[in-house]
Amino acid sequence: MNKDLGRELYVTGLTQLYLLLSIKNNTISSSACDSIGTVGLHGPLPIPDAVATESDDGSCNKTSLLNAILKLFASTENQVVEAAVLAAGKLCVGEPSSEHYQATVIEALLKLAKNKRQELHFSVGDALAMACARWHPESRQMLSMELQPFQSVIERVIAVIESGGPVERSAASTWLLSLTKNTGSHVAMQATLPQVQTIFTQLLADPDGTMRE
Amino acid sequence: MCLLASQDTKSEVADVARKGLQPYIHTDDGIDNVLSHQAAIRTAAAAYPAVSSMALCVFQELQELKRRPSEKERMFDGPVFDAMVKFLLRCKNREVVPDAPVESMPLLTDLVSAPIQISEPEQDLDEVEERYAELIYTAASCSTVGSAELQATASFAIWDFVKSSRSAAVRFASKLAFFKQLLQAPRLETREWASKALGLIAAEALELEATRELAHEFIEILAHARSASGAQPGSMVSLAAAVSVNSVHGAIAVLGGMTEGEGVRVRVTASLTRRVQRYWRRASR
Repeated sequence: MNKDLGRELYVTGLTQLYLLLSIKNNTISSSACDSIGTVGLHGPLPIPDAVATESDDGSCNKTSLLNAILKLFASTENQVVEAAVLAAGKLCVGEPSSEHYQATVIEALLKLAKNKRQELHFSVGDALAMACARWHPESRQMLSMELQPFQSVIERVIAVIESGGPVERSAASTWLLSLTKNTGSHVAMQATLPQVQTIFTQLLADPDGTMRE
Repeated sequence: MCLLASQDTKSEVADVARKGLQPYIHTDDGIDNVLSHQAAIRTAAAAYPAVSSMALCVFQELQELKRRPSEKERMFDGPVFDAMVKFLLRCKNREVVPDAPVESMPLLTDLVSAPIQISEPEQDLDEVEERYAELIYTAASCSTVGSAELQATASFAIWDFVKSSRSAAVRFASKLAFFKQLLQAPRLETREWASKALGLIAAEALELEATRELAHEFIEILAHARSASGAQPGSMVSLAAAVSVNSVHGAIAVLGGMTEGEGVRVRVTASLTRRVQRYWRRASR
């Protein structure tokens, strides 16, 4: 955030955006996701951390904001899910110190494997790269070279390709493609490249046209 | 001539003129994939004139036509402006394509993110920028009472321009009221490009206090929208009655754009690239 608009302004703005996430209008909620994601991409959100209580008092904090975004993963509208997925990934880029944040987002993203909308999975793959390697979608650089959780994500994605159902395999193949493209120079990915190459070679003979492509 | 003829009532004349404005679009799939896109870029680099020359030329022709009452109405036809802006955009983007072999041709990602110098070495950058800015602004202004298509095209062109340099963003810093009008446009794409442009202008070309004021103004719109939606978080009925959903969407999008700082003009995300690709595909048809 190059121009310092003041913390108070960001807090007020983010609170309003958070409240709009629950509006049942696709344009409004997906646009709110875009904006929150853009703010989160550039640094930790200037709002309080998780509140140590399970009761939701409706206030805007990092946990409630993330939960509101993850809730939109269940939307039936592709536009909303894509915006929410990318926003969740971007929040991880700007939030370097929160493993909980990262783990929550990764779990939620992996659960989208059953989603049949193929185009969405390119965004899920990008978001996974953002979440596990803090891959910055603008500079296209990885801000984290930690082995964990990157290794764990790669292993799980490969496991889905090898043993999942057709829909999950198709989704995971797209994720693997995104991860290879965006985070190919990561040390964990480098170590896995021969295996990844074998997987992609095998997919060339897959009966599913999308997988072959 | 092609610009004017592209809207000719005789379809055969209009078709030939449109081909003249898009010399490289000759396949059904347009720029749908990397290979055809690379081929398109390669051909475009050779087929399009420099945007600097075209901007000055069109500007002069426009001034000339304004002096002729018989031609004035025709020249300010929305579709002609739409064709003009699209053509200038192609000329502008052609200029970042180097004279290089196919394998080193930039993909669209690089194409839209590269900083563009729009003047030729012997031309005055200030004059070229001023003319180009005036042309796209005139097109956008005319579109507020005209077609939604032109409005979207012109908004895209303004975003494409202001992201290219800070001096470009400064040229639109005095036009905030105009952008606020675009943010309420019926077409989603118009609001998105206009909000991205305004976000950049706010981040790069406005004084800090003016940026804060603008942010407060948009936050107010959101707060108003929320309170208008009443006790039920999902209710859009009362919201729609109280405040335009379009203006809420515009305000939200600008708030995100404002947080992008210096240098954002050379950063374009993958999702934004996909959005630009989708837009170009539609615009090229």
